[in-house]
Parts: sequence; C-alpha cells; structure tokens
Amino acid sequence: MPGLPVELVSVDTSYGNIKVLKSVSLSIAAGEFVALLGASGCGKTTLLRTLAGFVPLHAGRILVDGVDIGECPPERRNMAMMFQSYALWTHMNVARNIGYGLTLRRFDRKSVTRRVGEVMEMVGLSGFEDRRVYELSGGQRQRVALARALAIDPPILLLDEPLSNLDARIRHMMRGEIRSLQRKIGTTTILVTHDQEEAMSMADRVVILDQGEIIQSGPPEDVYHRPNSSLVADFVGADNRLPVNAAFANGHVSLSAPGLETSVSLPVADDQGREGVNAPDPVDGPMIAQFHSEAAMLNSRESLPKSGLAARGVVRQNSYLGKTYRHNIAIGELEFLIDHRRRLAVGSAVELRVPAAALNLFAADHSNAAAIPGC
Amino acid sequence: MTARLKSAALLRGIVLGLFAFAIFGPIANMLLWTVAEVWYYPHKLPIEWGFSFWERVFRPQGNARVSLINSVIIALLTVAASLLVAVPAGFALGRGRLPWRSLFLLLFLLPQAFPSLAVHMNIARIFYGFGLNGTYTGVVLVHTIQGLVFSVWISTAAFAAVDYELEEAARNLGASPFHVFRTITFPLALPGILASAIFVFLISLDEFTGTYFVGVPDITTLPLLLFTASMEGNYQIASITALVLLVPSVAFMLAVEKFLKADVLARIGA
Repeated sequence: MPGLPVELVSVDTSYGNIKVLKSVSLSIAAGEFVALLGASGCGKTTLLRTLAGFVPLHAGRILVDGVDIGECPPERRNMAMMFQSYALWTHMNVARNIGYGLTLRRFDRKSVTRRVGEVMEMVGLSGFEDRRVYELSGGQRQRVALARALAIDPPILLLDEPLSNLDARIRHMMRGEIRSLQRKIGTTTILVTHDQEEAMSMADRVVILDQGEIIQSGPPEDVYHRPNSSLVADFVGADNRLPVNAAFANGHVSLSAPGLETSVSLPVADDQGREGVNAPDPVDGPMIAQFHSEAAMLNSRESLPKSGLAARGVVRQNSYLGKTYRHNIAIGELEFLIDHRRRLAVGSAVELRVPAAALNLFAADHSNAAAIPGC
Repeated sequence: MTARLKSAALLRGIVLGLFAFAIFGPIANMLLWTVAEVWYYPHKLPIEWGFSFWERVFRPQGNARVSLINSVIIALLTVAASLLVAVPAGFALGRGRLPWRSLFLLLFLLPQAFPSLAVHMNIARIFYGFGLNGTYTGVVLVHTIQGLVFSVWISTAAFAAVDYELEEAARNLGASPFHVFRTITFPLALPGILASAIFVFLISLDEFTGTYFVGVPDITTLPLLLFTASMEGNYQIASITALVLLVPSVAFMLAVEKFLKADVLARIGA
C-alpha cells in the first residue's frame, strides 16, 4: 500500500497538568520519511504515541489522507508502530508474532504464511519462522519487530528509537536497510530518535522538537548547515562557541572579537542561495558564533576561503577519532574543538580559520540561555 | 588443626542429621505406620508388618474411596470457582487503575487474619440459613473463600507483570481490547494463574475446619477421615489416608507443571 499523507493541526497533549505537546503542527507528505529529533523529555515519543492513539488528544486534529482520526481508538488507525522495546510476544514463535496483524485482518492461513514468508525475506530472517523470540539476538529481535510492523503493509509506519538497543555496527547497517526498505515500499514513515546522525542519515526531513514545540523542520542539510537557533545548532553538533561583536550592513556582517586579529567583514547568507554566514536573527551587538569541529581549518596551506574568521591559538590536547584528529585549541581564555587530518603537537602554535559559510550567529543572551543542552 | 577440622565436620554432620530428621522423621514414621500391623511403645520398629489395614481402608464399606472422590471433586470445583473470581479480579487489580487497590487486596486477606475456627463457625451458621450445610456447593464455597487470597494475589501479580507495551503492540496492529486480553494479556499471565491454581488445589485438598463445620456429616473428605482415624488412635488408617492424599496433589502438580513448562521457559528467556 502506498503511503498516506499525515497532517497534525495544532496538536496539544498533556499528562495530568503537564503540557507535553504545545500546539504542534506538522504536515507530512505521502511516502515521506520524517525524523523527529530531540533530547529525552522533549515530547517526540509522546508525539508518536499520540499519532498511534495511545495518548489522548487534548486539542487539535490529526488528519490521515484528509480524514480526522483524532478520536479513533489505536486499533482503527492502521498505523504500524515499532516499539523501542520491540514489544515482541514471548508466548508466540517468530512467524506468529509477524502474522498477528494478518490473522486479525482475516487472511486465510495460506495467505498469512505466504505474506509472513515475504516480509521475513525482506528483513533477512528467512528460516527463523519457528524460533521463539527469546532465542534470538538483539538484532534479530529488531528485525522481527520491523517485520511485524511491515507485514500488514501499513500506509504509515511509526518507528520509536528502533535502533537504540543495537550495537554500533548493526545500528549503522540497519539505518541503510530500513531506509532502502522504506524507499521500496513507499510507506509514510515517522522516526523518533535522539541521535542526530541517525535522523540525518535516514530521513528526508528532520523535525527538531524542544519542550513540546517544533523549533526547526527541514532537509538534513538545511538543519545541519543553517540551524535557526542556538539550540538546534547545539543539537546538530555545532559545539564551538565564540563570543563576537556583530554589526550588520548591506548583506554583510562585520565581526570583532578579543581573539581576532582584526575585525572582518563577511557576507551573510540569504534565501536566494548566496553563501555566507548563517544569521537567522541578525542583531547588532554581542552575539555568539557557533560552528562544527570539522568545518574549521588549521594551518591551512590550501587556497583560503574567500572570507572567514581567522585567529591564532595553541594546541592544548589532541585525540584520535579514526578518520581524523580532534584538537583542543586554546585562543585566549576560550577553547575550541577542531578536526584536522594530521596530529599537531601539543603546545604548537596554530592558525585557525573558519569559512563564512560555516558560521552560525545567534543573539548572545539566547545562546547563554541554551548553554545547557537538552529540554 | 586436623582435630579442629574433624570436630567441625562432625558438628556439621550432626546439624545436617538433625535437619534431615526434622524433615524426614515424621514422614518416615508415617510411612512405617502404613505397613505396620502391630507396633507399640518400647519397640523402635513395628513388630508385625503387613498390608491388612490397606484392605480395611479401601474396603467398600469403609468410606475412604468416597472421601477421596469427594476431596478431588471439591478441590477441582474450588479451583474453578477461585479462578472465576481471580482472573477478572487479578486483571482489574493488576492492570487497571483501580482506586483503593491495596484495600481490595487486603479484603481478600481478611478471612485469613481471624482464627479459622471462628470464621468457619460463623460461616456454618450463615450457610445453615441458606440450606448450604451438607452440600457440595457449601463446601466448595468455604474452600474458595480460603483459596481466594492466594489466587487473587498471585494472579494480580501475574497480570501486573505483563508489560503495557505488549498490549499496545497488539492494539496497534488492529486488535480490540478484548482480543488483546484473549491473545496477549491472558496467555502471558497464564503461568502465574496456573501457579495460583496449584495453591488453591492443595489448600482445598488439605482443608479441615471449613469442611468440618459445613460439610459434616453429609460430606466427608480425606482430611476428615484422617482426623477421625487419628482421634481414635488408629495410626495405620491415618497414615494410609495421608499417603493417599498425596496422590491427587502430586498428580495435579505434575499435570500443571507439564502444561506450564514452555511458557515459564519463555519468560525466563525474555
């Protein structure tokens, strides 16, 4: 079954007196893969459970293909959910777990067996039909849970932290597998995760939630390179923070900071596709510049970016990450984490450059308020 | 050094021996009585051995056979009656968000809190008014009141142990609440419920005071026979009856355990 579009219209939910979702509106196209990203407690799982019908709607509407299902009980919503705990039934074997939804839909025994065989092959579990759930490894259980959800050929698939219980190697492999399965089937898919890498590598669109509100929504590249708030920048890993003084004029911003040799004037990115500094809320005065560790350059002999920040610092520490070395660079009182492909000796003086397009500028007070990550 | 080790070993042997005697002594004594024809005081072992008392217990005019059948029928009916209450009660107490949950659980404990003699005397009086004295229904009811505390408490725990997400997963795939109960919740709670059934069966099989006040003289069970025989000083008959009482207990436990095995194993694996 091809996917169906889902639309949330100012959805409110609460547990007792605590508001968990505050007027969340989100429209998801048919066949789209959307990742809900956020720290624990931000309401992303509640949003998924509200969609599935396990959390009552306080206000707002949930439309599936234009039909309001806000009042439907979970069993009539036709959304297949994969639970973080997998929620497999230990009193049934693998085939009966996967065939449960089909039996409910009054498929005859032969069709159930055929369909179960199909999905088991799809997730690479053929031959495990008669196994008991407790005889399987974590990765195999995860596949059974996925197969059980896919067996009913759902128009909408809900994935609640589906990979969090797996070890790193299998997790990375399953990302790709789930992604390509979703492409093949065309099911509208909503993934809940706290792992930004997982969200960005799997989804067409990343939706970032904080304290029950959507704070940014867009393609992974947008969210990563053009976060609209300090909070989002933190969440996608733009950990380096440099306090600066900003003055905006004619599509440019001039920045000065204690660590900088001279003040520089950099172009500001705009909606027309001009490259430059990402400054969603430009204000003159103190701001915080945030950037990713891999976006900055050390002692670059390559042709320098047309414009960017430059500063001199000292290597305090370095650590090997596998494909790169991460250096702690001290510039005055501040410390930055910068990646470089070679190891630089501790104590050596280095030149740090950050291209304009890698810089994200946010109002200083906002950044300070968000200094503690999470919800 | 070796002397100390030796005395330690000796001490341990003595303690173990005393334990074994405390546990197996009475049972061994009982087993001896079942095959003793003549046995009196200064003798450590029976003077004459034989099975003539077995014949006396099981002869048609003796009421051992009727009592055995009575005991088993009453125990089975008690199990059925207890589960009839315990399954819905356990589900409501273990799953639902019932207010006064612990109060309800204590309520089932109440009959056990008072001396059973007092409780049963009064039950007998009440039952007399309803014409329940001397009927199977009366005896089964009395046994059920005692069995309920175990069956309700154990099944409450069994239902509470079923993870909510397991039920949600079934509803998510399209199962109605009743279907979820039938195919997920109940099967997952079943091992606990069966364990409670064993308890209730054993309690009923062993029950004395309730049957004494409500059943006698129309309904006799093996414990009553046992009591009469012991009071008459007829140790052979008492011991044989006790041994016979073991048969249905062990049979029921084996049957349930065989049924239980796969499911319990499933739980351990999960």
